[in-house]
Amino acid sequence: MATTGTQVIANMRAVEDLSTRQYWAVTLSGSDNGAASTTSTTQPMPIGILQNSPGASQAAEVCVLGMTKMRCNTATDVACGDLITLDGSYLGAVQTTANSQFFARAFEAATTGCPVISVMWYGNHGFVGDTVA
Amino acid sequence: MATTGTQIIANMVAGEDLSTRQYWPVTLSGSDNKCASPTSNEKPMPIGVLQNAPSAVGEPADVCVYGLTKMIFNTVCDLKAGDQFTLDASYLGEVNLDASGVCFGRSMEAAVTGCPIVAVIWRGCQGFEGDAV
Repeated sequence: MATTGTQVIANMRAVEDLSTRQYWAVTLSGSDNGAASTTSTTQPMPIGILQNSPGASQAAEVCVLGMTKMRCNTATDVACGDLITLDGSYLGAVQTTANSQFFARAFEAATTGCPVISVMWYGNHGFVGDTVA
Repeated sequence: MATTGTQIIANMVAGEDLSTRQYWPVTLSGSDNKCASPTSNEKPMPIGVLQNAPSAVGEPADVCVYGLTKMIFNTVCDLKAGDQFTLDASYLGEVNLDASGVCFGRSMEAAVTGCPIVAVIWRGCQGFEGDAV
């Protein structure tokens, strides 16, 4: 059962077609208030999780803190309570490396390809060195 | 006077009897959407502070995962407003005196006597996989 809860939402604008990116991590496009997929921008550190599926120039609702669904990668074998980072495609993946960054914590388990799971999204905190490799 | 404010709440269910655990840190039980006391769980890193007192498995459990909340501290508590806090071995709050220790939040008020309930800002555990209790 999905966990629901409170969110802090940023009301942004899609600078590209994000119609297939619901529950993916997104970032700032580099233009004011613009949301973009993390793979298409020079500012790849994610700002939050896209809640809707906007086409280009449409309103984009981004959860920047709080309870949200999040899409994970095909290799995901996640247990409740696991710490979640992002893979090279910016899909969620279990963080297994000590002293490495995480962005969220899983509230549900999943084992199959590209699952959408409930997480608490914290985003990026703390250090300028916290970049996604 | 206790400080009140906004919270991010996860709408969970109790994984055990938590009727005596209001304002204690709780964690994920290992089952989807269920919370439990950290002492009874293999994933002890707390996820938030329990807001109510569910008395049976499956009852609604409201967990503050970020924001302003009350929280219980230990008997040796000697807390000043603004202190950063961590958790003791019983998962009660205590002042963080370790320069490299994990902080879960910051106290909004002072307290000196045994097991006080104090207003805090709960930020949870963020950032690095090594941030375990």
